[in-house]
Amino acid sequence: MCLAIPGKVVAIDEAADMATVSVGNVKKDVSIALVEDVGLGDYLLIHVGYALNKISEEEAAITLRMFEEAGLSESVL
Amino acid sequence: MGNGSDNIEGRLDIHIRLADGAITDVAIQSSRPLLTPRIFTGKSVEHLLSTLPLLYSVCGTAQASAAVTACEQALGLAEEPATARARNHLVWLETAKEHLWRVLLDWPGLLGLPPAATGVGEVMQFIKRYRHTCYPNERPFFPGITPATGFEVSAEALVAELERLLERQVFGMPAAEWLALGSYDALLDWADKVDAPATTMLRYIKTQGWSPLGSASVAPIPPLDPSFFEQQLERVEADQFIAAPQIAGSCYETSPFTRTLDQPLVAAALQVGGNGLFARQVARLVELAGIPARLREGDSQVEAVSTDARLPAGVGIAQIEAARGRLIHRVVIENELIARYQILAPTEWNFHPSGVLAESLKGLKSDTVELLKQKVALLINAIDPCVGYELQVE
Repeated sequence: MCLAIPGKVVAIDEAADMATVSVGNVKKDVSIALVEDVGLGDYLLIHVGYALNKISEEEAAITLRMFEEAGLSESVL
Repeated sequence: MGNGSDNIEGRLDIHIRLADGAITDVAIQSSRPLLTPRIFTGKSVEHLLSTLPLLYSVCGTAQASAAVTACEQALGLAEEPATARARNHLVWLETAKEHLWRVLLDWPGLLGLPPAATGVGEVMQFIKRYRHTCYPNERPFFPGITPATGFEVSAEALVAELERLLERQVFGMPAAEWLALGSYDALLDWADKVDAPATTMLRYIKTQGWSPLGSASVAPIPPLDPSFFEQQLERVEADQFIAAPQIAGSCYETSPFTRTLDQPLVAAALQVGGNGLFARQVARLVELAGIPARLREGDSQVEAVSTDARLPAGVGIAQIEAARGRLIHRVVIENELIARYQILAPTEWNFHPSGVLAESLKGLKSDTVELLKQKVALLINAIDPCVGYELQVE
């Protein structure tokens, strides 16, 4: 149901408007074309290859905890 | 999406069987996590409303609006008219964002063209400003929180800005004028004259002769009384209904297409190509073009039903018209804590194993598998799941 995953930005390719985010122990390349002022260490909600918006570290932790509670994240966390 | 995050989001596995270049069988399996709302059991309403939009952030506004509406019902709290209008505006803006995503990012991609991300980014920033104008306190979806007094007057300039964005990115003319084109011929004339992702898509469908592609006979979901959902969702077997909803053994569609069937341009497209791909793409554009007017008119259609005295005490059911169709939330509150939380999303109706997508794909023909895959991809995108999918051809 429209879940989006929080990921931490670990690398940015400004020319391509792309970032590498880490979701648990998995790294993913996502487009940051839709979000302004993305920096290293930011937390992004990602969905089907795009970053949707920035969230705080606390919000990212809450979201990941909810995924864990729901039993959705064993394979990536 | 690949690897890890697929496990969280889930996805649709769509398996088609071919014989002599035609699809003879369609199997749709979903690994979307439908029972996630159970994590709210035992939590407070405050916790639910604070965290649910983070969890379901793709359509977080519709989800938050449904959640607060259901909770207010369960708690016996009335929704102020101005609050209802402001919440509806924010849900419609989220729908605009989703439609722009399809039109500007997905449609070019489906035709092998580069996406036009700027318009989607612009509308996302625009929504933040609109939301702040309505709710400077940034908490639109909490019981008792009302919008800024006279927010509609303050937002008027923003609505004009949205109109300019739609004109620039999508229609090449004012959206209201586009809606008034009225006929199929005028629509084709517009598609020939304007160069934009929307017109490129319509021209492509027309040139390929794919207007009737995927015509299906699945009926639009009717207005449903909350008591219908209460009957379905209070049962022990409610999870089965949530995974594969039907009414009296029949599948239904709920989507922007079913919401715009009575609009002149959609009716004109239906007359020419039936309820196939062309009409579906036109329907998305029609709904998008109509959103500024909804913001001006204080439209109240988003929330189909808000209160029902026949529901048991402590139970709330919200029906919200979200970007992809009707979204249902049901909550049971006991001793100020959530005893049960359930969500029925539009994707479950539309991607039911016997639903509108399955019907649309059956009988599709193509000389090559590649062309068939493109047709399937266009139809899946038009009916629009909220997760990724994997297509297997046998």
